[in-house]
Amino acid sequence: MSCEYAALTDEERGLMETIEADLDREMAVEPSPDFAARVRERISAADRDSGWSVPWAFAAAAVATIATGILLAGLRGQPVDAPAIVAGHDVALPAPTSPGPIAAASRPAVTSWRGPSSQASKASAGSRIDRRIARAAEPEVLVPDDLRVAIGRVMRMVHAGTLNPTRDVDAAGAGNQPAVRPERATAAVEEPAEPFAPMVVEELQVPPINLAGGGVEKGFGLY
Amino acid sequence: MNEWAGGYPGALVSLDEGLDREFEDRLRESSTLAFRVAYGVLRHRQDAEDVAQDAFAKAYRHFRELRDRDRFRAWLVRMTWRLAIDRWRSERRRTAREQAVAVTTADSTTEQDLVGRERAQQLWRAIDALPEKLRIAIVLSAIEGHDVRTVATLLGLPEGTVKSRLFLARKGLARSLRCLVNTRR
Repeated sequence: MSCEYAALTDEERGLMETIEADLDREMAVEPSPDFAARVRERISAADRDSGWSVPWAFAAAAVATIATGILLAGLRGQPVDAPAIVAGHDVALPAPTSPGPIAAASRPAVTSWRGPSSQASKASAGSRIDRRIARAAEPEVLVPDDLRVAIGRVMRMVHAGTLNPTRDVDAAGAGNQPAVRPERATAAVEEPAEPFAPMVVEELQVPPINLAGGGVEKGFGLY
Repeated sequence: MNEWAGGYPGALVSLDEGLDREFEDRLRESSTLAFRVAYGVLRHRQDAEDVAQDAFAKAYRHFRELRDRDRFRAWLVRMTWRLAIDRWRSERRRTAREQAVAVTTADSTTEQDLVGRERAQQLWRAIDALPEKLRIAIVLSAIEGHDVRTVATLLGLPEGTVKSRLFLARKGLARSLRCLVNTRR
């Protein structure tokens, strides 16, 4: 019969008492005299560690916040291409008053305004955030179909740097020679000072027919 | 004056002075308890002190919730036991400890000492073989002559449960040790 299944006997009871006595004696150990001092030292060390960690956490958070702010400010401050500049210099972009069929026609033209140079600069910027912010900053305007090609050409010239709206349009307004070819400038830029004048049709003066006089008959006679 | 800050100039003390004094009292009256609980698992003085100090450091952080004396001691016992068991399981230094004990007791020349040491080793082996809930009960009952009620308070258990666990633990120890004695014969 194995030990596990043995019945508890008087001998075992005596053994249990002996065990308890042995165990009491074994457990009668005392910590070293400097136990409490070491506990205090450990707590002080933990306090010092936590005392360092809190300012470091604040410092790290502050640095991260400042870096994020600088990054965002830099992205917002980047030059974004120019539809707003063109509109500010009296280029004749018809006001988007009627979002009818014109709107549908103008949307592809707006996407075509992004000139090759601006696309290259965006690609070189390399950042998706960059491109997203620049795209959001470009205003979408409604243009009539017949002006779409001309406005697109002007925008491409502005993007390519061949047309400076500030210099060229002002110069043209002052009567100086524009820096762009006249036909392109007139196609794209309308001078507000010279609006299209309505055609004046003079009233037709028809003299009355006088049947009594001979001279009049000569005038209306059949040759 | 703040006793802790006075003992360690420049050290940061998180608790206020009253709490510090209370914690000092708890430390004074419970350090032996925590050390013995850890020793009951590890049976290595240095390791036991390390674990008990760790438990006190943790208790200090939660002392605002542990100001009640009984609650503090119960929390301390359970935390110390848990830390000691973790260390005992993870480090597996038992063989080294037993060897260290053998070396330190080598100068005990009397036969009575040798017999007593061997019996103690058998006892600890039998205790280690017990289930954990029986083990902590028997160890706590052997510390400072704790009665059933005190052990029940420390473990947060009903007295009847502790009583039955103590009986089962003693019975298991008696069987194991009798078996060992019979095997030796």
